[in-house]
Formats: sequence, C-alpha cells, structure tokens
Amino acid sequence: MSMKQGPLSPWEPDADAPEAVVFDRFARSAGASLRSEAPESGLTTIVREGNRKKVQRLATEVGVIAALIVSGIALFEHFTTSGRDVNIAPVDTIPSPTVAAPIVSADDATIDRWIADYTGSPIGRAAGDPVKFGIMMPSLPYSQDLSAAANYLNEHVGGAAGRPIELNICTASLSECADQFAADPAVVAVLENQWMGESIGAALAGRKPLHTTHSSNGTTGVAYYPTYFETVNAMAVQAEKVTAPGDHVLVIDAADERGDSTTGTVFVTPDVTSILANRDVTIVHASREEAITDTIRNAGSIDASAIVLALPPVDEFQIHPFARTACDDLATALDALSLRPAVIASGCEPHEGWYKVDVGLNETAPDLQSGALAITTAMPGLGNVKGSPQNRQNREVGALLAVIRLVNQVGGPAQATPAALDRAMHEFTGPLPLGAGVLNCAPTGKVAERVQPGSCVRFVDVHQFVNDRWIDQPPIDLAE
Amino acid sequence: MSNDTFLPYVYNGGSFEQLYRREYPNLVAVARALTGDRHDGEDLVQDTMVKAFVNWDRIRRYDKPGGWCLRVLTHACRDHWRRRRTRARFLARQRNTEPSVEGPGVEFVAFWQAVRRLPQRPRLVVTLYYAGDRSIADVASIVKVPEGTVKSDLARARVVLMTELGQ
Repeated sequence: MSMKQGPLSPWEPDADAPEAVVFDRFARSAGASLRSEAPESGLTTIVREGNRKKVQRLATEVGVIAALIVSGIALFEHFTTSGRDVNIAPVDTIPSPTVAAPIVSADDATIDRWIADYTGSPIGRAAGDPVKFGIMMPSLPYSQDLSAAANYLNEHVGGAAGRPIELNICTASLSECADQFAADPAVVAVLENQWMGESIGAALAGRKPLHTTHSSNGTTGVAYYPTYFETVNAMAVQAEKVTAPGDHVLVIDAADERGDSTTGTVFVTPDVTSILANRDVTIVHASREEAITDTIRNAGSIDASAIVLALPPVDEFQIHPFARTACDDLATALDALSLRPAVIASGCEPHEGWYKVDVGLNETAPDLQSGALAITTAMPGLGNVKGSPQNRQNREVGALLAVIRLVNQVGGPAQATPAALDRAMHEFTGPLPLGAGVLNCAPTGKVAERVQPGSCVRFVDVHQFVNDRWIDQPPIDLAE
Repeated sequence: MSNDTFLPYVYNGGSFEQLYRREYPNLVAVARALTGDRHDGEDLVQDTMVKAFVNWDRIRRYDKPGGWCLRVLTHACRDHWRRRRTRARFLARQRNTEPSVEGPGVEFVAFWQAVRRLPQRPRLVVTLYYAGDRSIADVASIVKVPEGTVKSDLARARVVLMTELGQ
C-alpha cells in the first residue's frame, strides 16, 4: 500500500489549528487505537510462568554452588592427600562460622511465650484435626517461610487453637483454587502475600476470609490487608500536639514526586490542612532539584515551630529512595539555618529530638520487633532463605499470627466462620494494621476521615529520639 | 492515560497486579506499534511481564517500574524486529504476502506502518510518545537521550510522517 496514493485523510480539516496540533491529535488517536485492557487470564499465566522461572533460577544457582563445592572438595583432597607427612601432629583448628548470627537474641522459651500471649494458642505441640489455611499461588520464599512458621508453631506453640496448622497450597487457576478452598470446611482463611489480592478477593467472593499482606487499593471480596495511609495523618496530629494554636507548621510533602509519578495525584496536602486547622500551615513539595534549605527559605518558614516531613511511610526496605535523601537533607538544612523546630517524620535515621511516627507496618514496630522478627529469626530454615529473615517474610509470618489470634479469639476453628472472622477483624487494632476490602471499618473522626476506606488500623505509635535512644510517646488514636 | 483512582505508594509496597493492570494497555500499544502484529505484541508484553514478575522484589522499589517494563519491551521488540525482518525477506522470496494488522482503522494502520519505516531512534521515540502515552521526560529516560533530542526527533518525525501520509 502506498501512502501517497489516494486521499487517506487521516487528519480532520481544521483551519484554526496548526498542522502540528492536528497531527498530534491524530497520532494520539493512532496510539489509543492499539491499546487494550489487560486480560484477566494473563495475570495467572504470568505468575505461573514467573514462578517456574524462579524455581529454574534457584535450581541453577544451587547447581552452580554444588558444583563449586564439589570442585573445592576435590581440589582439597588432591592437595591434602598428595605429599602428606603422617609424622606431623595434627593442628587444632577453629571452625569458621558459616551461618549468620541471629539478630535477635531472645531464647526459644521467650519467643514461645510471646507467641502464646499474642495468638492465644497453648504452648506445646499441636494435636488433633488440622486447621487449614489456603495459600494461593505462593512465591517460593513465601511458601518456604510460611511452611517453616507453621512447622514451628505446630511443634512449639499449639498451631492454631491447639490443633496443627496445615497449609493448603494451590497453584491451579484462581477460580479453581477459590472453589476448592470454599468447598473445604477445614479451610478457615486464605493467605496471599503480594500480588493478587484484588483478583483473589473477587474469586473468593466472600466465601472465605482473605488476608493479603500487601496493600492495595481495596479488594472486591472480603479481604484484609495492612495499610499505611494513616501515618501522614498521624504526623499531623503529632504536630498539633507539640505546637500551640497559631503556631507555624511547615509540611514538606516529600512523597509528592512519588504520587505524581504514578497517578499525578498529590495525596498529602488536603488531609493535613484539615487536621491542622487552627495552625498556620505552610505546605511545600520537596523536589530533587531544590535543596531543602531553599525550600524552607522560599516557603518563608524559618519560624516554623514544627516541621512534618511527609514521606511514603512504607517499611524500611521499600521506602522511596528520595525519602532517605529528604531526611538527611532536612537535618543538614536545619543545622545550616540553626533552626530547632520539632520534626515529625517516619523512616528517617535517628536525629536528636525528632519524632518517628510508625503505623506498625514496618518491621521496626515494637510489637513486631519483639515478636515476628524474633520468630522469623529463630525458626529453623528461615535464616537461610534468601531475603529472610530481615525482609518481608516478617510481615507474612506476622499476618499468619494475626489470623491465628483471630481464630482463637472467636472460640476456635469451629466458630471461625467468615462472618465471625469479619467481626473479629473489624475490632482488630494491631500491632499489624489490617484493612478490610469493601468493608468500611475505619474509625470516624477528623483524623480518620482521610483514612483509606476499609482501613481498620486505629493506633499509631510515636517515638522520640532523645539521648541516643527512642523513647515511646503516647500513641495516636485515629478515632479521637 | 490511565484512569486509575487514588493509588498512592502504588508500586513501592504495592502489588504486581496493579502494575500489570496499569501498564498493560500502553505496553501492548507500544509492542503492536513496533511489531505491526497484535499477537506478537501481546506475546512480547507477556514475556516482559514475566520478567517483571521474576524481578519484582527489585523492580517494585523503582520510581517508575513501568519505565523499566517499557525499556525491556522495546529491546525485545527490536530483537523481534530483526528476526522478523530476516524471516520476512525469506517469505517474500517464497510468496507474495501482505502483513495484516488487526483492529485499528486503515488510516491508523498506515500511520504505524509509516512509523516503522522511520530510523530506529525516532521510531522508538514516536512509539513511546504516542502509543506508550509517555511524557517527553519519560521517553528521554527510557531511550536514554536528552529531552531535547526527543523533542527534535518528534519534530522531524512529524514532518516525515506528514509527508509520507500525504498531508
């Protein structure tokens, strides 16, 4: 086909618009004509294929390591057996450590006691009919870690309500897995760790409670997930606490670029304005191009009594790279300007006097630190899994513990119907914050009004760094 | 442009599923534009998404995981393009076939055929800008050239395409 033959007339005649504008309009339509929605079946295929590749990659890595070890042993044998002098006495050697030391030193009994107190399960070996948890298309580390956690709980802390936990891992299609779980009365809940909360929630359609450990924009089924939308609101409340009416509060929205890069939405500004209604609030957006010293000067905020550094308050391994830079820049700027306002932040390195607001999602939250982190460190096998125990498996194990706690709370597996677990989840206040799909269990009140719909978190921890240590401050109640 | 509702922190701590739903339409448009074939384009997008899934622990920490996907996809399309050009030459010697493109109207098909005749960089720039619905800054970041180069590529391509299409 020749493009110069015949009048193709791709452009609408428009005497008022320059040619380039008309072309641009047409080209955008040409681009739009090629788009199509993501097919529902595609995600399942991608996850299955991706998991297969991950296993292949792991097998290759293991094979290479094994080959290196075998080669090393062969070389060692070669050099030690040739020319060996049997008359020389053997030299004492000290075995070099091959396993990293645990980062939490709590002993097993302490950990077991903490789990028993938290979940309500009895200390000791689990017995009786299993309590099943459906696991939907898990990644390899998730599967390994959850299995290790279940084994540990079954052996030491009475599984779930004294009965052994059985993980029902399903790798079929979402709808098949959902039907399978729904049909099995022994399955009390479905767990999912990172990818498909919305689709699984839809497939389950409320027939079983779903706990997904990564946040999402809500789910279409009955589902629970940790949320972190509340931290910025809590920061504003803390700023209100440490200032007086009429004081100048500077809010540096360091998450703006992040929001802009994904949706174009600035998501901090309107919330804190309403919370800090009787303060003189200045809101600025941090920029990579501008030093925070200039940001403060340009905003006319040298006199600020408090500065809220509003950051994406996700866990320490996922925090936006810019956030760390913003923390350090702010500390440097305050030194340069000789300012000493109250600083309220999240996820920053400690600075004298600064407040840390911590919704509990991240692994440094006190309860998770003493509980889930200790458990994941202590559990056999977990320390050897790539990415564990310091990575996100803490949260997954924490999620399992939270669901076990709820099962115990409602009176055991026989009473753990979806409806009963729903009610229990609505009343759940932590330490792991949970949200509930289409259900709206968010607390009411001026602080909570901006809380993500469905969020069930209520209390937000606050700490202040004083004399080289974090001091607990009264937590913020979002329902106040 | 995506019509997503409020999705802060969506990637760093968000889900792969969200990335998949958000980026798929633009990725498939870019792949179709560059390959000229719907099925090949969809296959390449799927391969890209599998790679993203396998590396999700790393990619989700990026500012723009979608940019990473586009870069991987455009490399895959370039390889595919080379393979297909070789195959097309072979087929052309065997029989006279006209490649077909499903879906868009004839004027859009003609437009993308003309785009595919552009040199490599302008072809990529035009595709990412119009099919991928990316900003000039994003395109510059993905193609790894200054923004000024993207602007001049777009301007020159515009002239060529308008001439080519008989405006």
